[in-house]
Amino acid sequence: MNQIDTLIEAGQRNFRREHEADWKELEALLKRIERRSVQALSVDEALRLPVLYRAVLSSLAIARETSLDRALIDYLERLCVRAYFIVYGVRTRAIDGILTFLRTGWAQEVRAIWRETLVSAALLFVGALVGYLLVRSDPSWYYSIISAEMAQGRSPSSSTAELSHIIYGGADKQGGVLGVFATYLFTHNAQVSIMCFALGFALGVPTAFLVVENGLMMGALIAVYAQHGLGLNLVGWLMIHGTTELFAIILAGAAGFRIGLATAFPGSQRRLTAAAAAGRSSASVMIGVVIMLLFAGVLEGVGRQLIQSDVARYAIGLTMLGIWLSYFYLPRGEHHRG
Amino acid sequence: MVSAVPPLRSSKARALNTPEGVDLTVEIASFGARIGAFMIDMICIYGSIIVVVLLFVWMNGDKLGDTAQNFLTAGFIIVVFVLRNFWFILFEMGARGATPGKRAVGIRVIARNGGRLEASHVVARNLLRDVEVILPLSFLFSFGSLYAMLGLGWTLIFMLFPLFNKDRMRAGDLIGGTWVIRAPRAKLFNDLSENEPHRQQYFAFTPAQIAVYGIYELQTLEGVLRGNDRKAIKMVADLIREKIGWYHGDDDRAFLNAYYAAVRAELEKGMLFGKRRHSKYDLPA
Repeated sequence: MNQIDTLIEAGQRNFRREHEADWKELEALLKRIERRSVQALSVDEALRLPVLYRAVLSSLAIARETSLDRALIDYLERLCVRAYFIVYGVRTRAIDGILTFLRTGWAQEVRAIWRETLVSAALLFVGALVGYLLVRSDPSWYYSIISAEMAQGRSPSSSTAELSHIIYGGADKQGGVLGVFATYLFTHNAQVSIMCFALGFALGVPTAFLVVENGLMMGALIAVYAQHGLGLNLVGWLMIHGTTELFAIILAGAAGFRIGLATAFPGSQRRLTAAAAAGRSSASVMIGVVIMLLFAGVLEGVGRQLIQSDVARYAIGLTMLGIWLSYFYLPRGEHHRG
Repeated sequence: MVSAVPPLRSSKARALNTPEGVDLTVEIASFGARIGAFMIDMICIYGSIIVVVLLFVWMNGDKLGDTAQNFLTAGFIIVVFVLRNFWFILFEMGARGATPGKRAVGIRVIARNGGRLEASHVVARNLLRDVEVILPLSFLFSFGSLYAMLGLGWTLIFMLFPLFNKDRMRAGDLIGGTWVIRAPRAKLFNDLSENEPHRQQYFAFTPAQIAVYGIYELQTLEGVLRGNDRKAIKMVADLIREKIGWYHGDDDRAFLNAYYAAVRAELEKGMLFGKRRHSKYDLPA
């Protein structure tokens, strides 16, 4: 028995002595990766990383079965957890991820929420129609739909000349601050659409409100211009950036509905799984929404003042719409994922 | 006191299944740590914004032309927008899966399924912050009206969401498919049973004296020895002396060290023969 004891004790001591070098080596590599990035490693070190990770994982498995030194087991366990996230968690180069997203990922996720997109679009247009009809029937509705701050001097009591000046006379006034204006519009719209998406978590109800509200405001404004026979002119003015911006808002609303629906009605999946799956795909849509709003901001800030012809305005707006629609919905031979 | 050895079992422990077939244990971060990290990040974000504002004021002198001023203003708006919306996203997409605040309190974000933490996870969990923080705060600061109070009550549901589930998930974690876990660094300590081996031969415990305790007691003893608190060591040493009837010598530390080594050797031998004695209530091997 005594001999066995000695053998066992020697085995324990040797276990640590034989493997400690590997542990320390992995720890040093991890420290460097975490301080900078995987790129901080040389090719040899990068190849060594998964080998060391598996070696330490195997040390941990042995230690759990043979050792009662808790500090040792904790050390190995934490080292393994850290290494696990590096070995299995570090993405390929960021640029590859971005290219894949632009090539297929974005359009795929947008197509995946086509039902929600239809609902969201319907809400926006119904909102616009209601806003239009309300203000046409009784102009005082305008004031309860659009706040003074949003109206910027446009109201049912404005003269035709005033209204017309806003949509055709911008260049002289705001020419100097185009860039600032575009940036402001972009950040503001992006913030609103993020909120629109996030509110989807409250089962989508506040998201629906926000989308309808956007529609109402648009409808009310068109009604004011229509009373002066400038309805189609206003639509052209809005259209330059509007097709892009409204599409983005519709998609943000749709992404919000998606997470609300998945959380409320997970279907055959577990609720947590359903919520996470919906969250991931709608997050991709939202990255796209921010990109679209960036385009819209530039179009609005620059195009509105510089492009005075109605025909050109319609042409730009419809072209942008055509580009987005074909980018998202035209099939491009990647039906089988992955 | 922060002990070197964390509590044995915790309700916050979750298993992570590695493809290699060895389960790893991760521990869900506490709500307090999360708030602490968030505060630090907020201070960093608003600190940076203030720096940007000061830079902006300093650079935006009369000497600049209109174009340059416009560029500067546009740049300023973008920088603030990026800081406010992408601080968390950009940092959490890095190798450490943590913002500076999270790193400071020792926590990180992981994908709940144990897989790779993708950009979409991180974006989803952080965009939701708008309803969890910004919305309640905006209701809070529009004090007073009944409408604002109702709004605050409603949005507090989102804010306090982590308190109502055992994984301490925010709404963003739920949607993003993420967990926030503790990511403590562990140091490799020396092996206690190898302390002062030349003195351990003076302690010849009988098998009956060694067979008193199980793994739970052994690892509690390890915690005491590593904690290095003289009073605790004295107390435990007296307790064990009394229990096993050992009255030689008065060096508490040496005694406990030797006793620890003896018990551990015995229990580890049992493990090699397939018997784990979990606590003193189990029968000895």
